Amino acid sequence: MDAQLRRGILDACVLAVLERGESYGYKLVADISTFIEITESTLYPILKRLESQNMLTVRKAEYSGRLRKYYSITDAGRARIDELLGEWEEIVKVYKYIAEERGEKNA
Amino acid sequence: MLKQEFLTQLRAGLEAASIEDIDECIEFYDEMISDRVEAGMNEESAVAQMESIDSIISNYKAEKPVTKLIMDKVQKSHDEAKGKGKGVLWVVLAIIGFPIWLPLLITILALLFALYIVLWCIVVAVFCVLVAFGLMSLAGLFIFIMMFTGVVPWPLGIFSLGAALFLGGLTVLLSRPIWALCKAIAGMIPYIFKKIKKSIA
Repeated sequence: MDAQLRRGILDACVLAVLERGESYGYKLVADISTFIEITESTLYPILKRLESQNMLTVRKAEYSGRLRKYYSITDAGRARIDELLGEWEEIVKVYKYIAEERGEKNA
Repeated sequence: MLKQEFLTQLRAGLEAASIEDIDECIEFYDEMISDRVEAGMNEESAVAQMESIDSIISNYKAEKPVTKLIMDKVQKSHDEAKGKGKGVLWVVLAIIGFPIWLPLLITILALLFALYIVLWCIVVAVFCVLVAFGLMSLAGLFIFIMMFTGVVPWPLGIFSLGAALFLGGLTVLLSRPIWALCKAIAGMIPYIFKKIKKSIA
């Protein structure tokens, strides 16, 4: 998959999982891995970027005698999901057009 | 490999790659391994599930804009040069770049000086307005007194008294707020320059 497209999809996946409720790194990887491949090294920069864009907030809380980071979605993050879904509709339209053009040429 | 060893190697790799927020990155992987251990995995297996350090770094770099990477690299080389006493390179660069940075520096300094003067001018101008009101009030009073000598016609004397009372009242009324305004502007000047200095640094 194209890196740019994959990045957009992963952003949406992280935000969509967070829309269900606050989560932490390990759980995010586990949840997202059920529908798209993601690793820690992919997730970390995404979380950093989304945080810098104010699409999610981070808080540290003590868990089992250590600190764990919890991520929550913001209103800007929710707006980003809507935006990505809108963009996706456009991509599907273009996909259909290309597929039809190809079909007609091959016919 | 155990967690601590992995994290030490990761730190070394991140430092070598001039990545700035190393502590935060280490915290993230520390948490990831700890969560796996918490989920029932042994430490070695949890570490084994992590990607290679090269892969972690390349994924991190792929996310960062090129300009930011270059800036980090330049900053690191600057810090290293300072640490190793290789300031000579920076001195050479400063000399070569002299025709560019000197006019820029002079312009910035001139602008800052102009801003400083303008701000003090506002303070002086506002204060002068107050003093002018006071002086005009005294002048009006003087003209009114002169009316009794016959030098000044009585309509002008009465008008001067009215103007003196009005301007005197205005001076008294405005003296406190204007004094406060002057103090506020004067107090703001060092603050503005501190902010400018901070943003430049």
